[in-house]
Amino acid sequence: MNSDLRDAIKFILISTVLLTLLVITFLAGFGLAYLLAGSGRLPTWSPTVLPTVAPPETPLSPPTPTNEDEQTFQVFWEVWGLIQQNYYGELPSMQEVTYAAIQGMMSALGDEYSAFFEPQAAAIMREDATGEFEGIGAFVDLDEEGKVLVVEVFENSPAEEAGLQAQDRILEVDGVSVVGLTLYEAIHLIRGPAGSQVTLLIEREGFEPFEVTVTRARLEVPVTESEMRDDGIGYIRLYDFSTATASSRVESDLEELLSHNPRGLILDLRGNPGGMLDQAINVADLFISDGTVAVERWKGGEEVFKAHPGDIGEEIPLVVLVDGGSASASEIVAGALQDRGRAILIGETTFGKGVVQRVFTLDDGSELWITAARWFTPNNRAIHKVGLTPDIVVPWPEDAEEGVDPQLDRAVEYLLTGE
Amino acid sequence: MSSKKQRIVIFFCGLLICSVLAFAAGFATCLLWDRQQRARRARQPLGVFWQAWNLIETNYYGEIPSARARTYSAIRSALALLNDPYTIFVEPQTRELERDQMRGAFGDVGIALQRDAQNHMVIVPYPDSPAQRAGAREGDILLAVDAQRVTTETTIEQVQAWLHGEVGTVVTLTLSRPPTPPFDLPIVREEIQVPSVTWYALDRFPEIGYIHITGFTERTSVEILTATHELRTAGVISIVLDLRDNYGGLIDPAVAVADEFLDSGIVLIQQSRNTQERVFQAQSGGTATDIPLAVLVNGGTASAAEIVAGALQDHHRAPLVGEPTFGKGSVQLIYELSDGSSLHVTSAIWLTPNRRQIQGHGLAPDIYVPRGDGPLDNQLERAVEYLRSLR
Repeated sequence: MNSDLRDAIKFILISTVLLTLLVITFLAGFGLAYLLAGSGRLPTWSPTVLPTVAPPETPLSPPTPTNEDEQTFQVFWEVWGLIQQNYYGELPSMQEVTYAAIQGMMSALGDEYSAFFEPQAAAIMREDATGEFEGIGAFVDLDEEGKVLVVEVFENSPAEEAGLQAQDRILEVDGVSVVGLTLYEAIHLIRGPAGSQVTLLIEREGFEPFEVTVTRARLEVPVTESEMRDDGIGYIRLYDFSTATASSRVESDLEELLSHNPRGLILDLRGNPGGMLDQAINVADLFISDGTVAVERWKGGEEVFKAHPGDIGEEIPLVVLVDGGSASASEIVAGALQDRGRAILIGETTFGKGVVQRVFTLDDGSELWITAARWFTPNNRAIHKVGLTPDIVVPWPEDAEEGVDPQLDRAVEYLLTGE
Repeated sequence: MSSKKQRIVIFFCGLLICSVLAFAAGFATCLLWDRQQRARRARQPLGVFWQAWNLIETNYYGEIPSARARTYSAIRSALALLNDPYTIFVEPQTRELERDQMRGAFGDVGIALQRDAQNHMVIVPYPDSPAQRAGAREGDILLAVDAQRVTTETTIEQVQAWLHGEVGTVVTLTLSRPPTPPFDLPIVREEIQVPSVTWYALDRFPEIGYIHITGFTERTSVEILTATHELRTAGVISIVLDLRDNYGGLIDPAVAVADEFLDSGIVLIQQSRNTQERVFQAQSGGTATDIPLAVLVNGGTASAAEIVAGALQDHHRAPLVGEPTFGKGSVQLIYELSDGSSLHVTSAIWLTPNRRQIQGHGLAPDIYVPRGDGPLDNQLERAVEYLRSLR
């Protein structure tokens, strides 16, 4: 055979093999991304805010129904078509209509824990869940009049440096009024890239409204507070489980305290409303060496969460402080430690939230929380609407003076005396 | 040899790099594609709504309400965005009732009630009503209903509530018709067509006619003609038109009533979003365009009743006596939907002839008279006083 021909065949063969190989790797990459995106494990690149679509001049032609539900739903399109044709006033955008329709559908469920969050609110919640955010460093809430109220100013934060105080009300952000906005709309305006400046118009009792300029910074969401007490007891307070860093913050606080050889540890979960299930499992696991932590059951399935040995908190004598504000993830941790005999609970009966929400990010960046499961303690107790009863009940005194904490005192006493 | 080895190494390095690049390209392509898909789905009308709907179907732990219940809830929530209390969605069951109310049919005995000069409650049976057929007569004094005594304190509304009841049941009226002693009159309640207009010459001032319109129904246009005609025949020389607690009703009868008292000019301007203004003109030929008139209004005077009051006020045809009116000046179109529910849509607002907006404002009375506490109708008294002062 002619060597040219042989070379040519060899070349064609090799290139075909190479090309196939490249196509296969391309498809493999595509496939992997597809699987990851489908399971929601990739940060989605979807636009976080949908551009506002102006209401069309002509009535929308409703999509042709493809199943029974869409058939039933046709009456919605009839209604909206008639509104577009006849309504006298301003029409809301289709986006607002969509969100209102979702809210309506959710309210039909009659479940207080299933909820829908518009893209802006969802984006803020996702940022908070990372454990860090870029802003001024203050807790805000809406007061009865719908004004943005500063509830707490973080220590060493830009807000503190600028002189902001609790009970201040924020009226304007960079000249834009925030009165009447939703809480998340207001937070969205206050937050911004670290290093940038924001000017707030502040209302404070006894003063004329005045302006404050704050330089934003990258800040940690406050999650824990810990202290090595003079009596040799370590104290960790966990505010909530809603950041992905909650259990690692507890672990690092614990590590720091253990270096002082404490005689015992108090884990304070009072007023902790909960957060993420996996964070609760991880916190409980820090103190339990093996066996069941909690069981999650949904329609047609269950998952048993087990503890893993080798954590730093498995030996230390432990008391957990709880009260009526300890809910959900707090109850998972407290319930596991109580059922497994790892710790005693001191304080008051807990809130009683034994349901789990799954969080879904929708195509436009909004979020849907759906009550999808219930959870049970290792001894198979269902605590929904019941709560956990502490081993030692210490009610909070009605007329408690500032600085007095009988529940904490009782926990210390228990750890020091063993009773 | 070494150069061949080198070539092989270079070849495999190249292959590795190409593979990694191809993998990365595949990965990125998928992400871009996925992003586009999401954006496309999100742009579809209610795209994310259906995403949420399906996620609930597959994941929700509790009992999921029917698709119909979820649909209705979504509709109500979407309509709430409009912030208009009159644009509403009515589910199938409640609509039957609503239709009945529009027709004005319920079980009753068919009488109008009024207080005479001695503060007795006297009855006026409607023509061919169960009360009339049972033998009740105009001017009979009502002493009790089903043994519940009618005192000087009892209000007309209270007695109406006692008379009202299920069709086929019996209500017993205790009547006095001097000189005959008081007697009981059992009457079977029937579904009756309620007249929307009642009228009579005032007991103390027979030269003043009183016309009370409780609501504007299909019957009103005819009834108002009969009322003015009969009153004039009876020698009445001025009229009190009572629109208090009249929550409105149909628009055409309201225009007809205004027209009856107006010779010409605009009665009402209806403004909608898309189409041009619609102007309702008074037609010449009203039979009561010159008779002195006073109109009674209060906070319960709404909608179509405000149209009548507003037109008469703007044309200086009659003073409004009483309290500020309700301020409901928008028009609802009612549509029946395919599944038996219905939709009320605010499609237009009303302006008085002088282009005053009724919606949210109401009409201020020319003579302000708050309602007194006692049994005396001081608003009517003031209107009578006005009409008598004209002479």
